[in-house]
Amino acid sequence: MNNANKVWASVNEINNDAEFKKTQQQEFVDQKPVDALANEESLKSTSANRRDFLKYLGFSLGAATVASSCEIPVKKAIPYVVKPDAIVPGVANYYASTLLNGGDCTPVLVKTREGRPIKIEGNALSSMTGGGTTARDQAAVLSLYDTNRIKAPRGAGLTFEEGDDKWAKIDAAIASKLSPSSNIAIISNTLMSPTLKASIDQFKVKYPNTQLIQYDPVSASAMLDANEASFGKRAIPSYDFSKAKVIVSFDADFLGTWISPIEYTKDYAKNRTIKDIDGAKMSRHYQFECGMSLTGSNADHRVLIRPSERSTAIAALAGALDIGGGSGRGLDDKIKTAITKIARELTNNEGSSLVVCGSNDKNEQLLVNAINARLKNYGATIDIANHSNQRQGDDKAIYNFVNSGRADAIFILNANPAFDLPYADKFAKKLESTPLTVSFNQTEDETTSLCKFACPDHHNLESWGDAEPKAGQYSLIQPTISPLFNTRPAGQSFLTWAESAELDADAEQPYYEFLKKQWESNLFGKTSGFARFQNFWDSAVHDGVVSMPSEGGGSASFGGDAGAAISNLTKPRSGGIEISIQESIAIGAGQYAGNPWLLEMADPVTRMVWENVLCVPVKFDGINKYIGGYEGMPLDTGDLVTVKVNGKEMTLPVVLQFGQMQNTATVQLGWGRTKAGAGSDYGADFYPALTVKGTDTQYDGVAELSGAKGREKDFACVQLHHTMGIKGMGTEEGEEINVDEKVLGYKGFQGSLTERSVINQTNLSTLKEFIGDDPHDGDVKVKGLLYKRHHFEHLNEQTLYPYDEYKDVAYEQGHHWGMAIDLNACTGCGACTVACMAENNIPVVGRREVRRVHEMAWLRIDRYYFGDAENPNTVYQPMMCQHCDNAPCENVCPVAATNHSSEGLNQMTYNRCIGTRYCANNCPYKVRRFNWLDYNQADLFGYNENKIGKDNDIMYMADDLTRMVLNPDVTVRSRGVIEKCSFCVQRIQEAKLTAKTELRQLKDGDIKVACQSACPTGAIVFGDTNDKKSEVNEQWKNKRNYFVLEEVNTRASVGYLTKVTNRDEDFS
Amino acid sequence: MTYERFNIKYTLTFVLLFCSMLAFAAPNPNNGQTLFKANCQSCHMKNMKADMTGPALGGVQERWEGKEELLYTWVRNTQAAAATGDAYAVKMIDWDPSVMQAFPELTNENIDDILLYINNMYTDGCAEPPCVTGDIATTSATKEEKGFNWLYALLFGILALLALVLVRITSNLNHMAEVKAGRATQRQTLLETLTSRNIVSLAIFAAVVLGGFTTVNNAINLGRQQEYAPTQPIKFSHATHAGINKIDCQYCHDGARRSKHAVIPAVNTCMNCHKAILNGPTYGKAEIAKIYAASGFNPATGAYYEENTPQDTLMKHMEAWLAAEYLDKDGNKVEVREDIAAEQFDEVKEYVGKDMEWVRIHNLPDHAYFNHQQHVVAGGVECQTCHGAVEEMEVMKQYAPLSMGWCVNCHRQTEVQFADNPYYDSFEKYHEDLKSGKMDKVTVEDIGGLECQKCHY
Repeated sequence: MNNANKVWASVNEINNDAEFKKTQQQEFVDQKPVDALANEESLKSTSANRRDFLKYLGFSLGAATVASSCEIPVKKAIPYVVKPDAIVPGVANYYASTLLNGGDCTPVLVKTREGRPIKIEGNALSSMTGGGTTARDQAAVLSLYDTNRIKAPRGAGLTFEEGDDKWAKIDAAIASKLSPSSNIAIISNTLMSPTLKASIDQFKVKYPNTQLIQYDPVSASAMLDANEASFGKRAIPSYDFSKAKVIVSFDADFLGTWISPIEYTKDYAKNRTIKDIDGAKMSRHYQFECGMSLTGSNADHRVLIRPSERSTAIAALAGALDIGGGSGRGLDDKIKTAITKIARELTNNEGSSLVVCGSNDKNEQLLVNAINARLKNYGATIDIANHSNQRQGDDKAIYNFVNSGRADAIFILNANPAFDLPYADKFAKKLESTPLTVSFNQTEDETTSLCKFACPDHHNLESWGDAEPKAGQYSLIQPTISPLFNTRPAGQSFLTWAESAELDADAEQPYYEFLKKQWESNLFGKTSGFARFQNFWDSAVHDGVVSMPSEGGGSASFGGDAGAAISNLTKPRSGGIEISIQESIAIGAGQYAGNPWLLEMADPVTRMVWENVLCVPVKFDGINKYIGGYEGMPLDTGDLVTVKVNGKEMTLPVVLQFGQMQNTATVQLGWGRTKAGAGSDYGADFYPALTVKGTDTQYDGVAELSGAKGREKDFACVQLHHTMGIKGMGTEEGEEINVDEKVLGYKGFQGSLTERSVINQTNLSTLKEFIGDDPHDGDVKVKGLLYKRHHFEHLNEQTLYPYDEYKDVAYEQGHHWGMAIDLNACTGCGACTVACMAENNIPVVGRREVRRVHEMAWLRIDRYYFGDAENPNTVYQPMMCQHCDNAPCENVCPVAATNHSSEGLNQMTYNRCIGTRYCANNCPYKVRRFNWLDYNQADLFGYNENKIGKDNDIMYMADDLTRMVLNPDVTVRSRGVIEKCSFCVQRIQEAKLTAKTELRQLKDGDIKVACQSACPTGAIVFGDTNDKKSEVNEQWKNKRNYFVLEEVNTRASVGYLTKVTNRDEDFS
Repeated sequence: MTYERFNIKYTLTFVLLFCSMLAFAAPNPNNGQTLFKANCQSCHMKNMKADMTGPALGGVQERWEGKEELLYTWVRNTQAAAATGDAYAVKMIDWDPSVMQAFPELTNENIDDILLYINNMYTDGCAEPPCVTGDIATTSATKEEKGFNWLYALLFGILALLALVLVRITSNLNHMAEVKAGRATQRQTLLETLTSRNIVSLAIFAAVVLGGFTTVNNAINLGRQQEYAPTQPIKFSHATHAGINKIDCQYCHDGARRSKHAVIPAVNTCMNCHKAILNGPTYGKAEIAKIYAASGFNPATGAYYEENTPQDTLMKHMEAWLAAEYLDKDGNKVEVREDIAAEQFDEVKEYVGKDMEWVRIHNLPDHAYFNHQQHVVAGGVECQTCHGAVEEMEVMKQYAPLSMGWCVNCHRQTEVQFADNPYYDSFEKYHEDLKSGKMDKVTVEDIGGLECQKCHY
């Protein structure tokens, strides 16, 4: 069934489920808090009765009286003894640094207040990211203050007494266990730091039998091998998505997790936004996959293939491009037709197309290289000369080492192989049998806890270091806080153990000196324009990034054997349910699973928090219902199933996923960590389910499902929390109705309640029609969006109140803040949501509370589907307080705790709020959040506190260490008040003050709100709408612009730019 | 009327005083006050009744009776006066080990002014008796107001009495009429009336209202600490630093111009001056020693200690330095009594190598955002507007209530520096209105200074 003009969010909604409709009509969905409390296991044991209640009441009243009448506590203020020049208490400092974790590398600016890092911003000087960040980057500050970090080195059999130099003892112990002939293996994720590599080289001088084994949990090893075979260079090329008019991706989630997502997202979005609707152009994006990935959800067309059909599909594409490879025998005719069409389009765009593949299969990658070479993309959209270093893992090396390697010592360097390898159990055994095992990891994770020595490295934000993410692109890591614990840089440990002459052990920061020396001898010579090294160094530290002159060319001749690759391709499996196992956007391959911000970030596609789920397909039954599951196995969202893959059984809940291919399932990797602090024991671990082909890890397989085995108790999916504008099918007539309409009992009520405008979407080919003629310009021949908005304007003028008169007086001068969000540039990556958490002290509530619809995020990204229900297109809509100039929330507050400012801000005053929640009820956008419990541990009474963690035993934010992450410019809210997006008022005020102090007008761009600055694509624009030249005004003038629920006369201050896809109408 | 007599009396005094000045160019106590503040106050108590570094000056003229010229000499140079061999002068030289500074620049007239000021302060407690606070005009105004209040009270009393009498008369007449009509009624006595149900309920109601009102009023003040002047670890005198030595507020509180916090100065800010100024006018070495103790400075050598110098060494050095004799700012040797040195060391030793824990005086209520830069730089507000005359405070205290009402009131009244700052150019309408005379000033309130999220976010 085609639903071209319809937008929906879930199966229940599109099915018009009766139970669902009932819940949607309730203001507070799910259980009422009272019921929930009464059912709560934890509360059953309490025996409080009425008399106790009165006693407590009396006591607390008395206590409060006594407390308040006693003397005010004496507060101490301790000044610096010697104040550092750079620090002014109350003023933030920004330091350029780099966030580096395995294959993730982002140049950033770290905001520090009084010497503690509290926020990450992108470094706009980086040509790679252009100032964009990911959600993982945004959450880095919280991992710095992780209570789970190792606080001091430890060694088996070593005891320390007070005053001991622990490191000296550790060094001596390790030295005694090593001899120059020792076989040493250093196991690491991708290592991008040239200086750390240099220190390992120093180590190798003393211990020549040392091998560095790099691997990646989600591996690109086969791709590296294929590139070596094709071009003689074992490296990942640089891709330029901004030059590609046609993009074809086979299972490569390049907007979410593949290689360098920020860079690709930034470039990709350049060809997806439309400024002027006349002559609008967009790239076209085809995605081959079985489940809905973030990248797939942004594609114009998704071609559904089973994971085992990927090889054949690539071969068929090669065949259609005359490289040989056949016609795709065994593929569905639909897929074959699609491939033929895609091949034609690619041929038409030679040199401006891009084919990428995310699989870990050398033959497939080789063939993709052949296709790109055939399309003349090397030197155009692909640059192999200036390659990327972001994946260097070698599956063969790690596989051989674990299975047949011999080592006297294993060093674990920022990796967790006892968890994130398909053969993790084997690795764990190997660790146990090796005499010397040392881990440099920062937490007691699965691997470190098995190691005899823990020599914790500094956290990224505490250390000096460097990275070379792409050839010639250097990025410097500088510390932003002194080490919180007794840790030491891993590089320094290597140099110390190597007794290297390069190490100045007496220096205050030996590794810093080593780093400087490395840069002086390796990089300074290649630069020009600096008289002395110190000048170069200062500039590098200041900017954070250094670009060496890039190597020319980039075009390479393909030297691989495509024919051999084709003949070695795997054949599609027949029958069975195939499962695809993918990296998680939020927690990566498990490296970030200890971070509560990322755990509570909703997955862009499934909108799940705190766990992974099995995505199962949805099918139209041919009459009027959508049914989830498989042949003979109906499943519903929230059902628990046991999946057997590769002989291993995992139990996890199910989510019905639109766009999931029939007879396939998708699941996320990285969950199910057992030693990840707050993130322990959430979700199911699918690493054991991974198989190995040759030596390469494969991320798909065949699944056997048990069928529904009950329901998940704490199913925490935010998909249908805080929804607006729900439509459904009328029960009697079978026609589509608006749920609100039903509630009111008015049918056909004019204007506001019919046809709500939440999402506007169209195709590029119909864009002009969709926009239509502008009624302000005269006759309207084509009634489109502009006509509709004109109609809304007319409706909104029909008011008893002379609103427009007020508006002129109220907002004619000074500032009026507004925002514009381009739904075409938004890829749904979620960086903004975590940035908002970090900036505004938004609490983490834990899975139990999310299940009760109590999540606190001020900014959510609503995900809607449209088009073909079994293979729909997706639109992401960041939704936050719209700062309505005619705000429904303001009118209903009995204490005026929420009201409007002269600058158009919908203000929320926490100290006035008494928690009636009328405002939340009356908000049509559902963006107001209520502090049901004391999520930030801000008040005195323990009963109100909230706990997170699987065993409900972690009091998040209760300790001083975690609290260091709080932004001192934003109030920490306590229980019982409403909160919501403030348009980052603290940033507005700061920028205004700077302008006043500098005796100048506020410039457009002076204020960058947190979500805006985190966004890699610039989808969010903020500014002063009274400034006629501001960018936000430009965006509002874009004909695609509309306001959500404009018809209900809220006069919102956030404009959305219509989502436009570039679908080929003839493509089926 | 009383208030008129007051007025006349003061005017007369004032005129007389003024005339006498013109006629005889008599000593001027106001000049004396200025001179005293500039020269004497750092050692002599202002109340003239207590000893400080220097002795109490009250009654000094009586003590030097007949030796006026010698007194002038003494003030200008004590050593010279003592050299004359005068018994009293010699006795005073031995009064305290510290030697009085020489003031050769003071003329006889200056000294007369100071002496008059001293005398006035000693006998009347102010520079120019009769002692009133504030200037004369405001005093009479307050008196006037007070007079009116009394008048109202009197009027109220008379009227109340009249009402009572009238009520009684009507009641009597009514009663008589009733009796005449033959209806014998029971008359209530005054006591019965006062204890009747209505009156008692009224009284209870009034008590509840009054009690509620007082409770609310007091409750609003809970947590406020106006006039809060806690004891600080160092007996730091703003009067000495900001008043006498005229150090700019923002020299030490350097955050005020660039941050939300005015900042308690870092210890090394103190050291900028106190590296050289080793003893103070009031407490000698005792208080300044605490800075050295906290900053790791050795005043004996004039250098900072190496890192990791043992605590014992620091202590030993500090004890020795406190006991050692020293030179005052004129290069005169001052000896320290052993017991005093021991006492001082007792106090100082807890600061050796420790942080300086000041007691925070200005505590904003929770959830309120305040930015010094906004007020000091953008608003051009004087420090004294909110902090009072700090330069006169020997002990720092909280001058303003720091209540929301106080903030809001100021925002209502304060004029924005509208014309001078291009930032405000976007307020086009106000600029027009100012030009056309529709508005005479733009207050903070006009540009949204009373909105919640200007201070609460």
